[in-house]
Amino acid sequence: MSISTAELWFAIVGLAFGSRLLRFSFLGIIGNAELPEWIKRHLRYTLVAVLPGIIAPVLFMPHATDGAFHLPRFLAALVTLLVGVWKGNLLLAIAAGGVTLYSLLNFGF
Amino acid sequence: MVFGVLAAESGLDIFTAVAFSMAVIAGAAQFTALSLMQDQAPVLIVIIVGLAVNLRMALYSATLATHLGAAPFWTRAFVAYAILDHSFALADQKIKNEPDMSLSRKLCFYFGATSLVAVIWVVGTGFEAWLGLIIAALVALLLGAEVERRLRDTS
Repeated sequence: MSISTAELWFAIVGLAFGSRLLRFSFLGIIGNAELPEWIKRHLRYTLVAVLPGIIAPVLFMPHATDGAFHLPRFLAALVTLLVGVWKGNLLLAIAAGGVTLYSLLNFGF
Repeated sequence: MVFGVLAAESGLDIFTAVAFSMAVIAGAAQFTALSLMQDQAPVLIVIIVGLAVNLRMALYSATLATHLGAAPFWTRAFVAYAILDHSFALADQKIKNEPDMSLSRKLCFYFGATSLVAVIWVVGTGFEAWLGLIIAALVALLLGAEVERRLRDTS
């Protein structure tokens, strides 16, 4: 890597400090103070809001195909979702998705 | 968890790779930063994009503040340090399902959920970076042997 050692450490320290600030922001400032009910109501959806944001890029622009849409991966995700909704079992859903992806990659496409 | 191997391939030594993981503890942001640095992006851009990827942590922080806000300052500081996607998801679900848990039980659950992942992430980075160096050395060795063989064949 052509980046200099000083720049590398600058990036690491900057990222570390920034991440710390983001993580500590509300925990540190709010602490025990009571939040308004409407904020609390919105915060309850954090997980539902963030997880699709994490999943969508790897679903539609997978690293493995350099960002090109890849049907086997999409179908595997679909199977995972459907099994998850149907059975409500995390490990079963993961296993179903894994089997689907493996099968499609090795026998299908 | 291939961050260590990637880091080794980009020329980071084991100490730097582990320090990176320990200081930032965020998979997605670290991968993003590493690939940006390989693409020779300016350091400031690396930091800004990496932090944008980590913006969700502020949301986690706010949600956890409603669950664990009654804890003392330094406990909250440790809670904040160890916020990860997995541990947040686990703790958030658990506390929502059992809101009557005492604060100390909530904290115990949270730290139990987060410490394993955090430790594996940091220690794993070191191990993988070491593995990455060995892989690189092996590849170099095999390539060298192959080149030598071909040179001998042509001469």
